[in-house]
Amino acid sequence: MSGCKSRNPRVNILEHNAESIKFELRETHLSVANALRRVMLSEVPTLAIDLVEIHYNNTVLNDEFITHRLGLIPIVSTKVDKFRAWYEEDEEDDIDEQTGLPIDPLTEVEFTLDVLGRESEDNDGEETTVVTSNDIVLDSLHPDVAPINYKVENVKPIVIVKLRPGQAISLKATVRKGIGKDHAKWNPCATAVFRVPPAIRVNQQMLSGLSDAQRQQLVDSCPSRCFRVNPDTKEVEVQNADRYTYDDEIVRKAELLGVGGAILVREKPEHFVFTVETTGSLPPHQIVLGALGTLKKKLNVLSRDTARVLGEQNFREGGGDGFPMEYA
Amino acid sequence: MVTSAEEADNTVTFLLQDEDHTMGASLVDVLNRSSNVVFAGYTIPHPSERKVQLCVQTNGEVSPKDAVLAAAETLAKMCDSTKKLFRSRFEEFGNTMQE
Repeated sequence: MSGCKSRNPRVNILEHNAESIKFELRETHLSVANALRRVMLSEVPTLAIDLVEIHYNNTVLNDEFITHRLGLIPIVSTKVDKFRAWYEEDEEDDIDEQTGLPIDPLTEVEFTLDVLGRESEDNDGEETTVVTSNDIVLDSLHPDVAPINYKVENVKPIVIVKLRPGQAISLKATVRKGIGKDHAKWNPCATAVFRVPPAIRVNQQMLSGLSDAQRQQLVDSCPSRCFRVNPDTKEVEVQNADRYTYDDEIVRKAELLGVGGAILVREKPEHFVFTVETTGSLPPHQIVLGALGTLKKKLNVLSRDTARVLGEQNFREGGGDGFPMEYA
Repeated sequence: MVTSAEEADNTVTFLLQDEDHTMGASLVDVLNRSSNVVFAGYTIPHPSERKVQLCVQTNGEVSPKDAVLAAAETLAKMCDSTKKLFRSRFEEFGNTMQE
């Protein structure tokens, strides 16, 4: 093939907890980092309530409003791979390793929600009944598809609507697989960002001519407080480089103090620090892995379609007029 | 979906339906790193149409189509290796946290 050499990025996990992950991606190009970020935001599939059938609703919120609120509730999507979305092509069914039978992918799971606003006593003397994600009744066949923090003690559930005595809500909600490109409710990320860390060089020799007050001025000029004067050596040093916002204030201050060039800041080449935060539908590392998987799938589809178009002979002989409508 | 139109010798413009900067930018990047590619660029002619025009000119050693296929393969391999690496690094990180 044409001399494209494969460059494999290096990965380093920096922080990780239940809600977010921070990792480095190095030795790759900006376009790859950006592709990864874009796919995480809009093309990693998750589950969300997509269709709501309202049987009864005399609450203060109208049907559409409640439907929208239901859609935005993050649904635990660890089993999303077992689902097939409407936009996905019919692939050959996966084979169950144990039985050898094809696995029929799921398309939807149904939740129900039936709550009646009651008079005091069983509501701790409150007039209002709060309908939350904990009131949703799961599909008994798929108990692992549930709203996040479903019936977890000491975790406040997500409020859907509030009822007065006599008001009621009754509905059936259908959960489907989808991607953030179709609707933001399927976006698994609360944030997915990357930044390029700075490489900061402080030339102590040039700064040696400055008075202590001037050094303090220099350090104070940085709005993101990335520098400090070392209390012992009185040298200007970098404190927390990863907070630097590339504002260039300190570089200009150095120029004003007559020591232009004493502090040099540049972007570290081919170095990206990603921060990915989840809405709760997928564990953060699954978002990254899912994005890489999706990206590969996209590339395979692209290869397949490209291979189909414009046969080799067609290309050599200059083709016919088999060009697409878009070019006509 | 992909369609294409030949512009000149060894130059083809591919039309990628339902794609965006995600594919456009990364493909162009990989293509431009190839020694056989003279020019590679992409444009999204209108922001509200989900279409990408990808123009590739080669030196004649390979066809633009093959260049695009190679680029896609390079990226797909990269995805695989990054995924593997990420997974192992993630497990390592989990283990160090437990210690």
